[in-house]
Amino acid sequence: MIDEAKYAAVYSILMLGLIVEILIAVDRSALGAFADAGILAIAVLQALFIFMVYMHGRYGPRPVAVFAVISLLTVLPLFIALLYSVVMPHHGSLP
Amino acid sequence: MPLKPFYEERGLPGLVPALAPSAEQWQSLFTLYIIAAVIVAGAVFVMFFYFLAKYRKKPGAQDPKDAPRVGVMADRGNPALAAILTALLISLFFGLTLNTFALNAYLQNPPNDPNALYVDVIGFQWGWRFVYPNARELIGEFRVPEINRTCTPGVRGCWSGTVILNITSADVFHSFGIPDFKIKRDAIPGRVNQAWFVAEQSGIFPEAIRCYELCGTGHALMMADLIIQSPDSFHDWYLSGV
Amino acid sequence: MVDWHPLKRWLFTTNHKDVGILYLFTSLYFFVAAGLLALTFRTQLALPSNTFLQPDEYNQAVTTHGLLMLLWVLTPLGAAFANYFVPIQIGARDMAFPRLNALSYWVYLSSGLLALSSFFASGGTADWGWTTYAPLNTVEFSPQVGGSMMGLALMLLMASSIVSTVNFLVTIFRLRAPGMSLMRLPLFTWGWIFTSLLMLWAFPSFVSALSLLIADRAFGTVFFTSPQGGSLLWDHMFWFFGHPEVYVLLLPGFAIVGDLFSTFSRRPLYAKKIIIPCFAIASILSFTVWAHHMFMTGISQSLLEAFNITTELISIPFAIIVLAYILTLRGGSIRFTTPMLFAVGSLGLFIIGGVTGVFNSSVALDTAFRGTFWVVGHFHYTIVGGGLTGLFAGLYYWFPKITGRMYNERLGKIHFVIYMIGFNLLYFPMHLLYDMPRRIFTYDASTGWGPLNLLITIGGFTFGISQLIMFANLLWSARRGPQASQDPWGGYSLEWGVPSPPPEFNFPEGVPVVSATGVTYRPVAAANGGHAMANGGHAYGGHGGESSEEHWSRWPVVTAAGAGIALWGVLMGLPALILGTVILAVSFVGWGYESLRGREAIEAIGEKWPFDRLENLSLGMWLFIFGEIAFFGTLFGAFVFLRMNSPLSGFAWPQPGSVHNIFFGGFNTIILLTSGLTMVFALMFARQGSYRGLQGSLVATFALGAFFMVNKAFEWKELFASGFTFSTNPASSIYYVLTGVHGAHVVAGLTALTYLMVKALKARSTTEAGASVEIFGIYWGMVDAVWVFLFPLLYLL
Repeated sequence: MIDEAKYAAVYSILMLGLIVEILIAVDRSALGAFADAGILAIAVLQALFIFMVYMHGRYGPRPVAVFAVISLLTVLPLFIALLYSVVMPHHGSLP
Repeated sequence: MPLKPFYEERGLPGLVPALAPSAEQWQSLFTLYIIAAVIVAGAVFVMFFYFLAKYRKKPGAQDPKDAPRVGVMADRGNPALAAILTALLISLFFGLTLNTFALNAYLQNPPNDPNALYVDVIGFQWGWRFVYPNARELIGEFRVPEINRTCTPGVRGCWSGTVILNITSADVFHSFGIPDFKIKRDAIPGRVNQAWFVAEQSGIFPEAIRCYELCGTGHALMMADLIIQSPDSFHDWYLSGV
Repeated sequence: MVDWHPLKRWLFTTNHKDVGILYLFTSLYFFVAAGLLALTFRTQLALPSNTFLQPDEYNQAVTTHGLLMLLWVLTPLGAAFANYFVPIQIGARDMAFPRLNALSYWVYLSSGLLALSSFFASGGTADWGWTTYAPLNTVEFSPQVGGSMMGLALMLLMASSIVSTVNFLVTIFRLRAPGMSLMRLPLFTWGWIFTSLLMLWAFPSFVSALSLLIADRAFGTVFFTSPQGGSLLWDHMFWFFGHPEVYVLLLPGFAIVGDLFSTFSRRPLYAKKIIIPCFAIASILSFTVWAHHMFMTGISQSLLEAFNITTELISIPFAIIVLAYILTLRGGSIRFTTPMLFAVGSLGLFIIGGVTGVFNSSVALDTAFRGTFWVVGHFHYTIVGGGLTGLFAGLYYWFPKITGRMYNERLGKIHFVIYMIGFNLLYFPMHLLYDMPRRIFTYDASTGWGPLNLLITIGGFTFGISQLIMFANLLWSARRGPQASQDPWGGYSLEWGVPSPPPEFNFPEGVPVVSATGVTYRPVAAANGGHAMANGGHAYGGHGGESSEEHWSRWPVVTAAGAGIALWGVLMGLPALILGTVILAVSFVGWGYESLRGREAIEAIGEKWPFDRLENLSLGMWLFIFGEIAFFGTLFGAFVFLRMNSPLSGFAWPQPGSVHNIFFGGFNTIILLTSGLTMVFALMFARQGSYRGLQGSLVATFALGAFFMVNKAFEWKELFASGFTFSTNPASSIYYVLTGVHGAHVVAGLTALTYLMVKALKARSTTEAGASVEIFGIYWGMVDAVWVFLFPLLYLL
């Protein structure tokens, strides 16, 4: 029964997150410049809940968290460099 | 000027008298790296070969006491050596990197020179097109003035000899290089990359400009001649063809 | 070995040693093929203005040489030794998943044949260099179908490597013998751990880059044809894979050199406890250096300077390892037999390659080196000098163990001398040609490059001919060589404690038990009780009622053939596509009839740290999800790049809600997330033993997943009708690729779910289904988690 309650609780969190995401996207004025960051933060939290509760099976969340962190660390430099290489100014645009 | 064979004019690769400050500076940084490399690699090789010779199996010699046996994963060694080596290498790299960054800043940032000549360089399959400020175009040859020490900064009508290139591509990924000047920059469709140089001696250098990124079947033939003229003759040419 | 019909043995084997031999022969075959290609273009370059090859032939030869050598020769040659020796070195009977191991091999072969057949397609094969720079790789500039075929072959090869990687990591982490702690593993096994981890993270990035490329070539998306993506997007995606890849090539041979230095100098490895962390540091750093291939692209200088520094830093762990290897010799009694000679040669050449690598780390010196023969010289010194020479050392070293016979020592030494002379004649002069562009098919005599190129070509032929001596020596010795003893070298890893060649299940005397004083063998009766039970009463070793039927399955080879034919058919016509798909479908049904764990039931018997609490299958699934994270992570990276680059290059990204219906997307999200809930309920019911609950949850999950896909199809159709197609703009291209690959994952999940439902219906028990439900649950959670990012990225931002 405890499992059932836990899974259902996470499901409601996911749904709530989805609704908030959509609300932010529909009316951006409320959050202004933080709208995009807010939506992404909600997505990260949702993924975290799926990882920690839905995916761990019967082994407990710790190995799962370790896997997730290591994997994200691997792709992180790519994101930073991709962002940096386009956002930082280069010499010019097409003649 | 008659076209001489290229290597007669320039000697073998690596032994070129510098044609431009960029090449001179590059050469001195390269020499620094070579010295560091020869010292470090030399020390390693001396130790390597010394050990190989000294500890070769002598006739009738017994195995050392801790010789490997199946299933025995013995360990030995002094971890401090790793720390010492790391510190040594980092200090070596520190010197090399500072010099590298200095040269990089020089090569990357064109001087703020009001008398510079700006040229658009457009790579295409397969050739280079050079577009001058007065819309004069050249394909397959690139004319630039040599350095003009008498040109006063800010005075109109003279070129100082600084040449600033805006490099792009009309189709695929090319890479614009003048090996004699140690100048290179990728020519990427949709982007403009800058490079710059000052030429110190006039002359005709056939096929001195090349493409350094595989760009199709014509890659090997994607060349241009470099013609460095005296300021006056460049001026005459520049005004003559409009 | 077991007395099977040879055809059955070699086609259906799942024995890791047989698979290793198959890898060995196949990779050496590709070595000869790619080497001959190199000799053709070296012939072309021998003289100025030569006309031996046409320009397009030259470009194809260069491209295929590079791709074959890197991906179909070096890694698989390492994999050959890893297949044969890693299980023995850790004290296991076989790999964790023997059938998947066979599948990896057959898919590798089938991808190689696909790559070679692209040579004969009309217009030839890929001719854009192994780096496949955009936009030369697009249809506009390289329309030949062979190029697309090479792309598909690469994807198939990546799939094979990723499966193999998961298999090796599970094997090494979970199947070690009692007492075989991680630190006691021989260096070669350690090298293979890091090789596998690098492949697991880097290869999926290449798969995502190839997905975009194939989407461009086949469906007309605009990733590499538009200025928003274009050259830079490919550069980043490719080199993010490409730099770790060069360490994948180096590490196996480099690790073998360490083991050989210890064995042949008769001393323990110096500072093994430092060497292994250095391997780890180098592997991690290898993911942070790729932009040194992009020094001249004109991107942010501070970024490039950061990459300059990381590139220098990566030489530090390698320098420490090299020093530790050299110090291993101290106080030894070195025997200069052929394996040791090659090991010494490998280290010497690698030092030279490493030193020139420091030159390449300099963002300023690169103004001369980029795209020249200097670079070619550098990476051949590291990859061929360090990597391949080390692997050849391993080939001589293990030859007596594999064949039970000794090679001819004199011929081996002659091979070594000619090999070294040829190598240095071939690659050293390249450093002097640092003005000469790479990959040019001709040059004029006036450039002065003629004499050095002639020298290089002479070196190339010398180097090539020296390999014939090795092939002749080994082929002759395998049949006629003198009998080799069990341990001719005095090695320290476990393979030298078993007969040559090793029997089918490796350890005839029982379970190896490793301790500080050496290895003992625990007879099977006393061995860990449960183990003998786990494989149905079969003994651990080669006696005691072992069934020779254990080690085979007919489905790996069938699946690989189906995949190869189907992919060939994608480009070459419907009949082949249908045939391949039918073969694939038949093989899937066939796999379904075999037990999930296979006949061999390779169970953990000893050390399992740090994964004591995960089972083989779930650890395998988690490792696979590692790869998936790298795959989707790189695709998300591409999305971010396109999105941020668009305003800078004149494309206004569509406002949220203007193209996609937010509420419809949200509705579909709810459906997928609900299927995630029913999936965990299925797991819960399986654990509680509720058969009806399990069945109901699985059916609900399937129904929701299918509904999600139906909605998706409806959405695509609407978008297409409104003129938002694959090729409309970067936003549409990335939308279709992201939702497409995610949808493919959902469909794959639904297929697996069908298996589970059939099994659950037939078994009428929850215990049997429990383990597979759990593993599938992890996968389905990943599919949900990916969508949780896709929805806001595509619909809301």
